[in-house]
Amino acid sequence: MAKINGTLMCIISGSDKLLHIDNCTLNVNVNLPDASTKESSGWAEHIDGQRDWEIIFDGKYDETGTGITPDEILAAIIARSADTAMKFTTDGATGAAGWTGNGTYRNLSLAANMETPATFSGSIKGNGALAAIA
Amino acid sequence: MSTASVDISYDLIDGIYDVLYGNVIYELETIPVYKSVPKPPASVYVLIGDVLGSEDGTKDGFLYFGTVQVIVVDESAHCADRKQSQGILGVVRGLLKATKPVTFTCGSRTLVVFSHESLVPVIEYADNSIIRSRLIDIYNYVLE
Repeated sequence: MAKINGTLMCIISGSDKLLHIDNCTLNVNVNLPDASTKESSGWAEHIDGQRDWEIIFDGKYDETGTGITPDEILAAIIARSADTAMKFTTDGATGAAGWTGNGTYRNLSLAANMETPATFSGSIKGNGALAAIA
Repeated sequence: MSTASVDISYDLIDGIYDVLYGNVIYELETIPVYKSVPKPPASVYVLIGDVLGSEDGTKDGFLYFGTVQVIVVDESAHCADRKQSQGILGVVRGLLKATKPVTFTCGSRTLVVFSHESLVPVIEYADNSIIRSRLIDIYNYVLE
């Protein structure tokens, strides 16, 4: 049974929350290179390869607010800003639970459909390890 | 966006009323605009009807979307008699949506989107033999 309200789960960049988000997703992957040989008895085998992670998010565009706005993410991408410590937290109030690692803003898209609120979406690419917040 | 969930329907009705009241003029006649219908009503009037809505927004704030009705009521029995009410409807639309991107003021709230959705004509037969025609204009709104 689901017991965490998704509204609580958010992204924190440095010490500031990413604002105006309505959906965020943490993807963690491990590459599994094939290690099958003639001695594998007809079963595929693999080894554990490189790991990577990314966070994707989308929301409703607004340039105001105290925190990280879509405009600030766009400015960070244009300036090729350095990595920041990212948290994908399950406790939006304190950021005391969830996962953390250094990440880089990789893209931001702004969409403006007629007669609907403008939206944005983007992603953060992990640069190095992802670890649980102790 | 508001940080607490609230009922925005009266703010929206009030905003529409402020735009229309005293300004719906058809063939030199000022048409009454009602938020609630007095007894007896005028033979032709504009009524701001029901607000149907739901909640949207982000993880930090609330946004409200749905539909609101603006109704032109008259005592015509046949569609051929509705030239006046259809003309009034045109005036109302022009007042509520003067240009495509512009929305009107809604009290302390921000009206993000206001667009025309559809028109529903309804004929109503009352107990006292008065026949009323209702041209129900339905608008979409997004309000924060």
